[in-house]
Amino acid sequence: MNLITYKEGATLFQSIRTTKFKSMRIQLRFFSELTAKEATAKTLMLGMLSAKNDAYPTRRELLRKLETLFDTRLYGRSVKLGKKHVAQIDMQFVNPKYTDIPATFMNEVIDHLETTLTRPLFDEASLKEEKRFLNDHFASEYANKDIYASRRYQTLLFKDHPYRVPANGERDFVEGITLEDIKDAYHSMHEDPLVISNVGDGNKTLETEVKKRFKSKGKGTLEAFLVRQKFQAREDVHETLKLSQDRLFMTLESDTYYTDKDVWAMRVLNTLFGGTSESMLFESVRETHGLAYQVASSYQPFTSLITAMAGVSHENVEKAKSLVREELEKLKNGAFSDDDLDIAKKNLAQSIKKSYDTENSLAIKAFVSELFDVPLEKEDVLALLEDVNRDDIKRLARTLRWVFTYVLGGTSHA
Amino acid sequence: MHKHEYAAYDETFYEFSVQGRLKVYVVPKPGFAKTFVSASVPLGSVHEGYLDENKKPVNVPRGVAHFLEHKLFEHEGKDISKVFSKYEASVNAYTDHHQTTYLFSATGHVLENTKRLINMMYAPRITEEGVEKEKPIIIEELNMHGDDPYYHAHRALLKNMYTVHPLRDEVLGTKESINAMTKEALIAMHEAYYTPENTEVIIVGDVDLKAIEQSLNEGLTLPKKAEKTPMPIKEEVSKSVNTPFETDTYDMETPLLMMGIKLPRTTFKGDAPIMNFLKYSIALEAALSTSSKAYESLLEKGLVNDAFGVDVIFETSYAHGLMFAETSDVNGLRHAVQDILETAREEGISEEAFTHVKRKMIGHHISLFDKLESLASEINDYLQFNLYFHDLPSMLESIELSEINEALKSIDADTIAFYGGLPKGTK
Repeated sequence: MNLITYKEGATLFQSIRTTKFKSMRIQLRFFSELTAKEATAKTLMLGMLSAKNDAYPTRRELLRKLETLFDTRLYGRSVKLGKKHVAQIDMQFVNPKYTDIPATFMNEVIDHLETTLTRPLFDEASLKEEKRFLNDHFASEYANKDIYASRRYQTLLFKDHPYRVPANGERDFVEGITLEDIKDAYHSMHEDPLVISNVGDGNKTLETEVKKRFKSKGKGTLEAFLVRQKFQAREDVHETLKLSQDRLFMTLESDTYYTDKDVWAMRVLNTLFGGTSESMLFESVRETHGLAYQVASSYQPFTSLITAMAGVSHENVEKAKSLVREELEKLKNGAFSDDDLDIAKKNLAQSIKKSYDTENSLAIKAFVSELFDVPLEKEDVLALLEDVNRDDIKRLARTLRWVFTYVLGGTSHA
Repeated sequence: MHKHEYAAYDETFYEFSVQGRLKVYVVPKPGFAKTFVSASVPLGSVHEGYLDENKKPVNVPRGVAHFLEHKLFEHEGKDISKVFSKYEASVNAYTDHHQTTYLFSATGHVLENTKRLINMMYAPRITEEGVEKEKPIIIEELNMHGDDPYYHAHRALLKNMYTVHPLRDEVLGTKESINAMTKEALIAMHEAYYTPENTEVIIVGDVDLKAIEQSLNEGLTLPKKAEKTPMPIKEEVSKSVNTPFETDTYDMETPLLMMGIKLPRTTFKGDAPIMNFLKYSIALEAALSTSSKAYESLLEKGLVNDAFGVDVIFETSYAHGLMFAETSDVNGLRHAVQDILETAREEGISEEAFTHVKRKMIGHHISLFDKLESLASEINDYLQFNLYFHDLPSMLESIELSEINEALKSIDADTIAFYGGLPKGTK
């Protein structure tokens, strides 16, 4: 990867130079502690920043300006990385050479981003509108029962955990946020450690101007922020809601976190267990027993947890649970073929290679490599994957503990 | 092999045919690790059956296209996905109203995987046991959508718009039709629709062109000409909608409103349908997108939030415009949108708005060249109308403002249907 890194105070600037894209990207990520009220205020503030400003005082004027810049996209949103809140401002635009104003286009884009950051328009009417949007967004999560079930599961699972707060904050805090809170959130964001990522063809104007114009005013630096917190096994929860299909979540705790040497072996284990449509869960729950259309597992290395998920008819929930447990026992006993292990590793290798094909993924790779001292180059990552063997899988499977099961559904079928 | 160059965007694509029957389009993407390949056949949920050897129409259970998509992955009793994975590819497929598309993305073995994909499509190994095994899985897929009010609202809107067109039917079929599916129906539909002449293969990635052409020409055994043939799609006879407005209640908190506008596919004599698609897209974008004056006024009145969008869909047997909105006042928004469209019909759009939308569309067009899957999908959409997606800028250039305003004028009030989704307990 052709990566330029530059640090100044609390700002880390990275430019990834590549000519394979027609678009370019600037991303600003401000890192802060994740608390419910702060996350809610920052989500509202980011929405306001990206909708209007002093130069473009209405949504329409601002959006039309971006559209005039060949459909440039500007997003301000909250993201969660481990226990950190990330206030992310993301600008995507076409390479100036494909526009009819190649000499001035880049400056116009950077000017616009600077205006977004430095000339906010915080007023009561805009806050009211943004609150309405955020409240509606929370409300719409209930309409989508996959999202709702997942939210309920996360809330119950992480109830005593530092990772429990959602990126967008919580619905209960929305009404209480004042204009002063928004201004505080804005000013504190400028003091937060900042990671700037450019992805593009190495345009000098872009690199020089972004480096010059965007800096954190803070004095601290961004430190690695992994939390290792053990989960206590707890009572299963079954919540009742009339659904056409029950949603089942089963949680396994491991001892393997993001920076641990076994993290790639754990990723292979998860891929083999339920990570793809070639996995053991897919083969058993869907293909052999025909209980589900969707069944999968995911591994979250920041929490060490693996979650198995399935959508099954109510009468099949107990059978699905027992099949998921059976598949874990097979992993522990090494009851999987070399071929299946090879396929899991190949699937993961594919994902790794493909992840170098998107601008966002390149930007994330660059800063997490800097922050957590994990490999950046594709070949180095693939070498770690290649080292994983069957004994690693058996050994790690034996460290896994069931800690929580959640089911939503369980009434008569629609 | 025919080469098409687009120097303004540093883009090129190639087309060739395999054994004079199967059309292949290749878009080179130097530097990308991933190659994306799709192959589409014109069999979707609107195809209700086939013509037999004597040209007699034979109807089959609904959802046949989607069921067939599932079964083509079965290879000697096993899912063929594992074989693709062994050769560095992730395979998948989807069925929509008009097409079934098989696809993979790969980081190696592109030639072998492309041949594997095409062979998988043309050489079904459907067994009675396999058909029975698949039924509960597809019913669970249907159940997955059962709790989604947006999905139901979209389905209901299509029913309200169309009187007889099979677009009214569910892509997956119903529980009854899925349970009624037979091996014979699947095989017959496969024979009628899965022909090389009907298939379009699109390859996007960092590939060796010559090797692909040679490998496909020499390494594929294409099926013999079919005796069964596609059955014509039932045509919508009515220009106006079936039910102009309807509501239903769902387990949700925020009400929603969907609007559908039945569009003519050939308003302008001699125009290709895709040109109509572009004209109506510009018209609706200028009149009702999130950067329009109309949306601004709806926001000010508190009738909409930021979950709002308009879109235009053109297929070979139907065309319509769609609007989706969350709203606290379904009726208020419905009347406001009716007024907006009426004003747009009467006043037309300005030259400035017309130029603005075209510039935005060109920006979006350029950005799609970085998104391999979306690019292949767009290319496929345009190929249905025998046009090239790469030519979009020149097509936009050829459109005049008067044509946009003519398109707006063609939208009559009786071609518009609304569907409201309300929270349970709403009166």
